[in-house]
This record gives sequence, structure tokens and C-alpha cells, in this order.
Amino acid sequence: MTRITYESYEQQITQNSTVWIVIPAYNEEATIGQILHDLCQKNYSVLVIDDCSTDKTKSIAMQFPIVVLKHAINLGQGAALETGFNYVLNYTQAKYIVSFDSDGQHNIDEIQSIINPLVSGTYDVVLGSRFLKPISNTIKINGMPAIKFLTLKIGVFFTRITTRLKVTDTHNGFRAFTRVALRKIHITQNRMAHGSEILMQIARNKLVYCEVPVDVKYTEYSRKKGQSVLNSLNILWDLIFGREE
Amino acid sequence: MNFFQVTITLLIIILLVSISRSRVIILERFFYILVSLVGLYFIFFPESASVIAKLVGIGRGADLVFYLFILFTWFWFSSSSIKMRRTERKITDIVRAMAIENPLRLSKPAKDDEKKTNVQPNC
Repeated sequence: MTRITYESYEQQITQNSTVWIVIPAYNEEATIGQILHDLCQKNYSVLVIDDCSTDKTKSIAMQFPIVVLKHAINLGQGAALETGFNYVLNYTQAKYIVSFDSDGQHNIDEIQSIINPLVSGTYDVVLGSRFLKPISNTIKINGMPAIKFLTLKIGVFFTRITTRLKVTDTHNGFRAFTRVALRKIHITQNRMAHGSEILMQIARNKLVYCEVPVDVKYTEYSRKKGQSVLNSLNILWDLIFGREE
Repeated sequence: MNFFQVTITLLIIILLVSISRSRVIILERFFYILVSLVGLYFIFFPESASVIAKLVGIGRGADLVFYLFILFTWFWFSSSSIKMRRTERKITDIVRAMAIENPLRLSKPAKDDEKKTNVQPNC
């Protein structure tokens, strides 16, 4: 863990910043320090939602000039994201909101490229896709196991049928929204089905979206925490039987 | 399947669905009392079950009671699931409100001359 000094950062919490990075986190003490360090160096406004972690995630996050929210009980990534969106929409001047993972899978340098389509005014939502980059010939793509690749592709197929959205990567937490678009999205799936729910709401609200290629790093660490095939079945169940009346 | 069976089934389904959606608890309690009374009646007068069963086209009175029980159980199960989802929703709203109303902020960094060179993380 690199030692952090206050002098490293020139940023203070600027409530009138137009770009906010929303990071749901659960037990990510190993990776979140570095991510927040890099984000603060680039003067991004950051919101971390600690989903009742049992490790040092919260205390690490609190060392940085960012806003930290804490859930009193563990609700799930979807719930943490919705809490973050709620806060950003009601308590900041954010015009562009980016969701970002806390496990080190996403690349901070690509935040600018995911915001650009929003700034141009043509798009409401930008979705990161790991499948837009040219695929190598080997079975492992960027270190992703073949089984995960297949599961994701099936997820894409299922989403295309249910939402009629031509999306190449349906479960990528790297997304960007305009304020106006985000107001129309309400995540009710607390656990991992929120990805598909977001896409369904994009389709239902007829939001203008585009995809940009992003790098998703698969390390040993993130692979352990990643979604298993079983989890994908759980998501399917949640989406079919989990709807409120 | 005869006309009687179809209409009775539809009526029961409509009744069950509307009761499960109804937020009026008294309606549910009334329904449970009714079901218990009907069950009691069939226990004391088992022949009546056979009579009704023949009317609706089911073989035996016991079969009728069994089918009614299945319907009742299914209704009770879905009603409980709906209530549980509502409760989960409420819990989520509470936790969310608590999180948003109590953001954990860092105090602003001290002025230049008051700053320490290396601040130890307070884990």
C-alpha cells in the first residue's frame, strides 16, 4: 500500500464539479486504495459507496478527499449503485455520472473516452464494452476464462431478445450517464441482476446510447470475485421472478 | 372439463389474485376464516364434498378437498413472496436513506503551514 499524503492532492471536494465517478465497493481493501489514489491525482470528483464491508475498505476510502457513503447492512452492488446515483443526482451538480468498479478491472484512463459521447450532446448513455476490441485468437481473452466468455455471450443473446438492444457487453459496470438520463433509471434489483435491469430501462425510456471499447483486466483477484456461471442463473431467476407488481 | 369447472376456477383465481393485491388486511383474515369454515364443514359432512365434487366433475370428495388445498397453498405462497419483496424494498429504502443522510466526509486538508509532511492513515 502506497503511503498517501495530503499534499499529493490539490483537489478538495468540489460540489460543483460536473463529472462524478460513482464506485460501489464491498471488501475491496486490496484494490480500492490505488484506484482512489489515481482518481484523485486526476482531480475527479469521486463517490464511494461502502456496502457494509467487513474489511478496511471504508477507512481506506476516507483517507481521500472524496465523499463516502456507507450502507448499514450489505444490500448488493445494484443497491449500492442506486444509492450512489441518488446522492449524486440530489446533492451534487454533476452533469455526467460514471459508474466504475472497485476491483481494479477498469481503466481510469478510459474515463475520458466514456464521457466524450455524452459531452458532444448526441448520447444519453455510454456503455463500456470489452468485446469491441479486436479479439486475439487464443481462447483466453485478456485473461478471461472461456467459460466466462460463453456465459457473457449468452447474457448478451438473452438481453437482445428481451430488450431488443444491440449491445455487445451486457454486464460491464463501466457506464456513463447524463443527469437527465440517470433520472429516468431506477435500479430495484439489489444484487447482480442490476446490469440487465439498467439495459431494460434504457430500452424502455428510449435513451440514446452507444458503446465504447474498454479494457477489462482479469487478475487472479478479480477472477475469484467474479460472477460464476451459477450466479448468472441467479440473475436470470431474479429478472424473471423478481419483478415487483 | 365442463363449464362449471371452468367458471369456478376462474372465479377462484380472480378472487385470490385480488385478495393478494389488496392492502386491506381484514379481507385476508376474512378469507382465511372462510377457508377454515369450509374445511371444517367438509370434515363434519364429508358426503357433501362428494356431492359438490360430482357437480364439478371431480371424482371423489377427497379429491376436491385436495385440489382446494393445493389452490389455497399456492395462493398463500405467492402472497407471502409478495409481502417479503415489499419488506425487502422497505429495508433497502431505509438503509439508502441512512447512507445518504450521513455521508462520511473528510475534513478539508489543513492550511500549508499547518500541514504535517506525512499523515498516517487512521485505519
